[in-house]
Amino acid sequence: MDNRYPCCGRSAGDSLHSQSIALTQNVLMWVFQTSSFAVLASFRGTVQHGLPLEIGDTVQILEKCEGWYRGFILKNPNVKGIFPSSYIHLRNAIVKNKGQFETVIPVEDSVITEMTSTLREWGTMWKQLYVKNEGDLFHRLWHVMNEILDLRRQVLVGHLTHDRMKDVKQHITARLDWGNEQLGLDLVPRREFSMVDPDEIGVTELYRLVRFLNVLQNLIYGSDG
Amino acid sequence: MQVVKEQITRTLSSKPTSLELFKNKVNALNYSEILKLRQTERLHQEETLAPPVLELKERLKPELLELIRQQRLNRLCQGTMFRKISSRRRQDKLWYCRLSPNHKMLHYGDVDEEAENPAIETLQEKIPVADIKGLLTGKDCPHMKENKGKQTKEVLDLAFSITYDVEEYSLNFIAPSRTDFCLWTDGLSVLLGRDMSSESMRSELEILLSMEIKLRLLDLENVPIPDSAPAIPKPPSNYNFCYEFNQTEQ
Repeated sequence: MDNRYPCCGRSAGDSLHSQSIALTQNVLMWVFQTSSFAVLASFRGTVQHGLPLEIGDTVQILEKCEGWYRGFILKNPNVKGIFPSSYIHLRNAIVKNKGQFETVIPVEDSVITEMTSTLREWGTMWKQLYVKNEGDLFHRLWHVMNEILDLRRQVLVGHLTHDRMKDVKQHITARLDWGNEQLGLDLVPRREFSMVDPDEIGVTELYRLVRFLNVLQNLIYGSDG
Repeated sequence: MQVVKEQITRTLSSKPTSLELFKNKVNALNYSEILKLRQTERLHQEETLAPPVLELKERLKPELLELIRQQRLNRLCQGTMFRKISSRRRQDKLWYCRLSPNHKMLHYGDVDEEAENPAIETLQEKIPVADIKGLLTGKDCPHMKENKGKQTKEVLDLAFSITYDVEEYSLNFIAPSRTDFCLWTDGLSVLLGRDMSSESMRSELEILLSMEIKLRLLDLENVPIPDSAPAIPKPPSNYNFCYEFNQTEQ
């Protein structure tokens, strides 16, 4: 059942930009969908229909009007509300399939997206390792997470060619799988939670870790030739 | 003149296009140098946190403190081997102390040399947690006051005591390490309904907080965060929303 407000009619073939000029400002209008808005500042949501936002949240926008957006936090799609457009950051995006079924896709490499979601998954597990006193793995994972964070930052600011980015994607994916596999291993729990010195990390694990990071480093900075 | 000419020639020949220079410079770095550079960058980022991020840190503290509390209690449930330091005997007597799984009873008792993880049933004594009145540390402990001034700083930093029952009984501990001292004093503080205060707690909180913040701000990498909240526009003139679907249109 279509219970959309009549203002939102569109004709096929119209580009997004001409559509937004055609409608008046007082009418809430459907703009576009994208998952690439990040919240820049915390918003308490103390307005009618307001949606509280935390800095760093990812939001999806449904519609906009007069400096306000209506949308939802990706983690909680059933709760919708409005928030000021000044509070969110629009990432670079491209428009695909101009016309009735157009979508806006963020220009972010799938490598980055995967690293982001993997890091967040690991983050949850990492805290559980802490609570359960798996001190060794807690510390090892902390190291690997920091390295991936650093490399992710390098990939974001670096200027990689398309081919190199493809290589990086394949190898990072393989190595993130390795990390996940590591986490699946049963370990002997330690009696004492202590921050293990990196020099004390087991030889096999250290070798794997260094190999993993070397592969990433070579792909990003280029090996000889 | 010749020297200057050579200097200029050398400089010119060592300065290809800026992109090449960058590439070469980067390739010259070995892996450990890159690690160090990244660490410095990371530390620098962590130090220059915008006020809104510091506020977020404060908001995240309570849930992370709860994790630390759980971890402390889990550790107490695992238990620890303690030594009774006695000047008279040749060998220190060993005893074990652990918290019951329901957190209501503290079990302890003498054990044989190097018994790993004795079961609760083997520990002869117990104190109900509800009977614990206070926690003392260092020179305030009864077993530290005994030999006035004769206790080394090392031992004082490991000593803690629980007082229980109305008649001022005390159970005296000497932790095997400073880490264990922190775990136990924090854990006992939690059981007493007090704040934890050890240095380990503070550093672990910082590690947990710092990672939590990094993971939250992943989508804001390279995005300047405003120092103060942007202005809120006046409310929209109407709330006639277009979309009432749960799914967005494809």
